[in-house]
Amino acid sequence: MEERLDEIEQKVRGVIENVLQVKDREIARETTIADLGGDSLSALGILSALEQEFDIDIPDEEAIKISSFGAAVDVVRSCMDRQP
Amino acid sequence: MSEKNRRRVVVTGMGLITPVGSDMETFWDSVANGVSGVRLVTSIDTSASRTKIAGQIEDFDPEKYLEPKEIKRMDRFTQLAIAATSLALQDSNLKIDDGIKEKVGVILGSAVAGIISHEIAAKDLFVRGHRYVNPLTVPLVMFNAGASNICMHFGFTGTSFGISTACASATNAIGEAYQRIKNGYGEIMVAGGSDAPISPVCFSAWNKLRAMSTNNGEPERACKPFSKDRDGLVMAEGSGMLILESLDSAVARSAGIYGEIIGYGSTSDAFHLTYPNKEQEIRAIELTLADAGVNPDDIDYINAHGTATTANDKVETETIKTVFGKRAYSIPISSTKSMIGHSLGASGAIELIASILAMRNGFIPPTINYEIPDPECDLDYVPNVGRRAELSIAMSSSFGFGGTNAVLLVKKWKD
Repeated sequence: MEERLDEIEQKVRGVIENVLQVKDREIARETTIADLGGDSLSALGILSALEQEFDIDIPDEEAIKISSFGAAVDVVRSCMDRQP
Repeated sequence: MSEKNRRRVVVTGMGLITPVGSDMETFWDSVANGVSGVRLVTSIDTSASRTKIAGQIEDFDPEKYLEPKEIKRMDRFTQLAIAATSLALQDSNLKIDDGIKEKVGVILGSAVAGIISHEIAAKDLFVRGHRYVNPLTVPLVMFNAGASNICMHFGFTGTSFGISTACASATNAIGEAYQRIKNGYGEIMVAGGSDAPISPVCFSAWNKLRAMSTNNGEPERACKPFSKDRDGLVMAEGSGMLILESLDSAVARSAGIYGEIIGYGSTSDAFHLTYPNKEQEIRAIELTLADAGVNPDDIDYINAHGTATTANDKVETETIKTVFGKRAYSIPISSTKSMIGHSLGASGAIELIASILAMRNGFIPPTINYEIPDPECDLDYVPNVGRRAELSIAMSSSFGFGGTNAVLLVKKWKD
């Protein structure tokens, strides 16, 4: 069973679903972009969409960490903390 | 030489406009001495961009080469191409009379061609409205605008076309020109590349691709090919043009000869839009060696693609190790992009010119900003300081987005 998602997690999930065009898939923290059928170019798309959704700039050193749903959430949170 | 019945192809003129010099002497002085042309971008607003640096040509004056009316009808990439062609023709001492004009063809490589003019037209349409779109936008932007304008400006009536294979464009252009002459489909070819990619959308798009260096604090030290702390390419503008002709034609007019193009090979990765592919890079080099009829041991110098992206430099190193075996460790390899930046579809021509000048001067340009050894890039990259060496055959390779690989071999000319 999936845990309840907070608002940020829901938005990140929405972004990933939208970019990868997947629906109703089980997405856990560990689920990777590759698990959902994405590749390195889709990862770039997800990055860009996250920057738009949360109005943040994700620096390269954070960007490379985004391989899973959980990592994406963590990066978004840390970027939002730094850019109030 | 192989036994194939083919004509020999020589280089009799070279010209370039680059961020490190707009004449051959200044250019060579810069690349031999490790002088960088990378600066903070001034021509467009980069305040919102992660990357704020590029190799710009600050001293380019199109009026030195073109009439005011012509300038208005040419995108910057075309202006750069005509300027470099003028310099190459002057260098070749080719007398352009009516008898010669129909013997000259033009192949120009460009990755993004008239993108500056395209962006201006888009802005005019979306911001100001349809009445404001420049009626000359189509001929400014088209990919053959460079080649066609070279023909119009100098009166050449041979074949003329543009080649667009991203960062391999100029190498493919020169290779295809070489093959035409070799196989008897042309006598004299003007070939090379030109790109002027520093425009708001193009720069922003590269920024979003996260392929460019963000070492904005020290622009001259930003581009670090093969160094472990490399963080991406530095975009540049520029043009390099060469005059290729059959040996018979060159000898008949007592032309000075820089070198002989002896091999060309090109492959396609069929793999990934941006990630390089070792297998097809290897095959491109092997095809080039076979075309020239030489062995890996005959190569004295490699001017690498060396973009300073993590992926390119690692895969290119693996490629060189596979093709050259043990000898890979003793062939000097340099990335002149460390100084010039990456002028996309012009880079292959500028780098071939650098290779030819290296052979001529008996001196190998360095890879500057090499700071931290990378265990995955463990060859001799001529770090930071150039060196004296007698070179007879040089290889110049270009690997473009989309997976296009192109390689040229050039041999020093001995009179």
